[in-house]
Amino acid sequence: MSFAELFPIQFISADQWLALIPLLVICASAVLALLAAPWGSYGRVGSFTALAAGSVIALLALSFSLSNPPVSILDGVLVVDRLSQIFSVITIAAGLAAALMTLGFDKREHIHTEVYSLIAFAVAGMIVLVSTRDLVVLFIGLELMSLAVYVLVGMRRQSAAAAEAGLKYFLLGGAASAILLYGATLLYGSTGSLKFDVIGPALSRLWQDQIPMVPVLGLVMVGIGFLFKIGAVPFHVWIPDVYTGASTPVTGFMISAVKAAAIGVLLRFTSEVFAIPGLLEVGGGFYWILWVITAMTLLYGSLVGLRQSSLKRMLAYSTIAHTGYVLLGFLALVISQKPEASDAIVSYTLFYVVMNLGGFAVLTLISPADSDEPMLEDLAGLGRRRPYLAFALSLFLFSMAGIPPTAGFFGKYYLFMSALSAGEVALTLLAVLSSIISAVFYLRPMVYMYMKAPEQSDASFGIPARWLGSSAVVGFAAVMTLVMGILPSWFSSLMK
Amino acid sequence: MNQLLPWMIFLPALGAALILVLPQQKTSWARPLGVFVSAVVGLFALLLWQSFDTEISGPQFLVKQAWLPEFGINFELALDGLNLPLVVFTALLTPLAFLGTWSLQADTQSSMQKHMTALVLLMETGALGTFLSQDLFLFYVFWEVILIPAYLLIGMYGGADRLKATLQFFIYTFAGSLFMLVGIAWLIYVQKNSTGVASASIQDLQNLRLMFDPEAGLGGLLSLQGLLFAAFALAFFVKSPLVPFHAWLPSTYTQAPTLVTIYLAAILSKMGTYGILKILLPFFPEAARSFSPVLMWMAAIGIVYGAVLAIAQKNLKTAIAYSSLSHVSYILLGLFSLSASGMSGALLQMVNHGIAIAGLFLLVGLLEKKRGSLDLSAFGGLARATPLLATSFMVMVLSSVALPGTNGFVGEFLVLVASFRVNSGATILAATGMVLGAVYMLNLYQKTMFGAPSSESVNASWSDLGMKEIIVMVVLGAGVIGIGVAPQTYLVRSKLSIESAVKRISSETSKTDPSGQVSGL
Repeated sequence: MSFAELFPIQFISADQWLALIPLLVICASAVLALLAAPWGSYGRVGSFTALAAGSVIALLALSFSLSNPPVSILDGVLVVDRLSQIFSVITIAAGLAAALMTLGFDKREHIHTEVYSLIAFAVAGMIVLVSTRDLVVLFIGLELMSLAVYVLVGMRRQSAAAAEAGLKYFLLGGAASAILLYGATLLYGSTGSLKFDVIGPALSRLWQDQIPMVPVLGLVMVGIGFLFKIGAVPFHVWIPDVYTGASTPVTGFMISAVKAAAIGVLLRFTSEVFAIPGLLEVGGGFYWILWVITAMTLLYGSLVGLRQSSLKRMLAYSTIAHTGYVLLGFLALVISQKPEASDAIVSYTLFYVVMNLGGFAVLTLISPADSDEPMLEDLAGLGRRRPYLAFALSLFLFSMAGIPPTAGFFGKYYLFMSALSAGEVALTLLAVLSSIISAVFYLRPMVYMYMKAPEQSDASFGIPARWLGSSAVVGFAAVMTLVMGILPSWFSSLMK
Repeated sequence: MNQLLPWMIFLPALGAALILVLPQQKTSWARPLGVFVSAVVGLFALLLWQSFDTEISGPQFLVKQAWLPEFGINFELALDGLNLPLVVFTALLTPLAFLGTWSLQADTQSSMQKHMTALVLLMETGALGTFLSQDLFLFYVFWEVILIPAYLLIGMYGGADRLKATLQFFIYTFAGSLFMLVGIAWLIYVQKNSTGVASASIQDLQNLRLMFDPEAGLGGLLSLQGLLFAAFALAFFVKSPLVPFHAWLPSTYTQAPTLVTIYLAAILSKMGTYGILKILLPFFPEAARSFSPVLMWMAAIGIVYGAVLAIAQKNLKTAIAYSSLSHVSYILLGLFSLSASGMSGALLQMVNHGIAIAGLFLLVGLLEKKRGSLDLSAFGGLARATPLLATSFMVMVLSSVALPGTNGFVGEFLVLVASFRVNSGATILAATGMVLGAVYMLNLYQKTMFGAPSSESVNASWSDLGMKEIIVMVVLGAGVIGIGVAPQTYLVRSKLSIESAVKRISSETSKTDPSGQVSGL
């Protein structure tokens, strides 16, 4: 017996190593940042530099390898294709933005220097998450990401709200992960494989004559795990408290990167497992469950957002409504199974991440030192005090409301288009209704910034911080929001 | 020459950006710069008016550039008989509006002057873009873009109740537009399904045959074409507005600062009526034919409703706002008559109404500045103290009540004659509205300009129109008389386009495309 037969180890070839560079670089920078963190007064700068340098190198490596053919490593344990590359870019960039936003803010809020290393670990988990085709590796990536984020949420130690948020997120997230893992075992039990591309066809073979209970249960449980992470109603209960309790840069990171990663993995899972021809006809109930979840998510987020006066809470509800739009895209993908539908989801995610990161960078800058919970009143007179900051925030809000010429408008248009071509007229009209309702609260900050006569003099407001990192994120996101709104086809054709 | 069109759109936007970044000590340059930029655009427009070929019915000065190729969406601009008058009017009115409101009290703060000028220039970009677009998607983008500056302007510089008014304005128009967006996406999808090629060009989408079934419930509204008709109609009716989609109008027009009110009433409302003429009726001919009687009645009711409410108003600006509602309904009446002369009358009336309403709101703004109040009872006997103001007010009032010899007469006469042939009942109702219109306009004039002066000493100290206002009123007055005496130069330019639109609406057989049925509900 030869060595290879005794030990069936698959060796990783050179081009596979090349495709792995971004993940390896991010992992290395996470370890370096962790090592640098206790380094006295240099810890902060050191670990930030490790993360920033790692992110930049990973982004460069990704941009050079974008045109390479897809690479499958260890039989699909990790897949580096266009989908995983785009979502890696989104999450790495969002991690870099979160680190920039944390710079300066962490000192004021007495956040440990480990925050940078945790961000890097979370990003590494996300890269694994969006580039795997294997349920167990998916779980590892999910946990790597989630554990880092649990700690990030609770890191603002002097605040009880942050501790509560961290614990709540940990308990609920842990339960969701457990449900997902159990669903994965059920799928494994009924199909004999952990690979998406084997599970899918195996399921459709199983479904030819009747509906077996076990794989249905497995699919539902895996679906619940995903829906929890992207925050769909009724799995949204953690969102308002967690997003408000976490420090503002971390909330920005969760709202953009965590959600994007969850959308990425759900997209892969959907196009390979959920979207099998015939699944909808056999399991007719699935369609209506998804339909109702989408409708509830669309309306709940916008209706409850109307009543908020805390900006973080308002944006937290607004992201629930945005999740509803994404789900609309997923429904269209399951029904029509056209590549246009998944393109629409990808572009929407990209636009969504940019405008939300920009919005949270503005919130970081205006966040009051005593509570880290910017309220609508804190915006009063911002149009006079910081005209460029106010302009940028208006731009992000108009983009979230979906008004041209901003990125959000095209994101919404692409999704409407794909929903209509899948015949989802009623849900599209619901999405329109949700847009109209949420426009009411997206406009309210502008009332405070530009329109209300201030009740106190400008001097009585705390001077907004002038942290360079957050300002850079605001500037970059504002430019991107406009560029994406004027030349959207540069970005919407990324998947091709 | 072709490149003039994109320049007309982007020049105001560039000017706005320039004005916004003016340093604090140079804010006094803002208004002159605004007048200059918009005057250049106005010159371009005059140049285009001169070189427009009246023998061609198709688009002229076409500019086409791929924008979103995967959806067949292009950056496509052109002039034709339908948008030419509105483009020229918009381009000429903007510098006049800047000039006329220059010295208004509301504009004295320097940063206010700066922001207002820049935002109104952005509105000009949106309006010209909407009129010039030959691509449905591009049309929508410009249509929406205008909401942002309008929202900010009303909210920042409006009257005491501005926050409510601006939110109401925004939500009404945004809601209407979103349904149109769904309609546009749907049309592009149907086009791709039936021809295999995605296109958003208005020219291509016009040729779609959409299924219209009068039996489908609500007189065919629930068939594919009926639903799309409703989606587009909602956006256009809210913007114009047609009663009962007008609820935002009185408070918005009253609360907005004068410059913005002029822009809203003279130009933004024309975006709605232009949309009906250019898109709604030619795209959905069967639906248009079958709903035309109902819509004509609604327009006639709007005429009377606006007039009656205008009579009842104590606030000068609100009264003019309701009169605007009433007069826009004439335009709608002419459009819904679906006849060539009614539509040319309507197109003419779009500009006529714009001239008269701009003049009226401008003069009301001046009165408000001088008296510090808009209450009708605060005015009286101004004719003696301020003869120039009184005379220009008279010209605008006469145009508004459609005295023969003024432009208003030509437009309303064409509209009423055409609509009488189609729907005599609604036209008779509309004609009573014309009488009511004369009642409130002349009543308004009498109360402010004649009658007992509220106090002689106050009136004596009033200054008359300044040089800038005189220029503006002379130009507007020349428009009133000029179009009234020689409407032909105007009508000849739009004749061919209107005829082809009418032909499209009326003579089509109602055969439907199978693809239209597949994509139906």
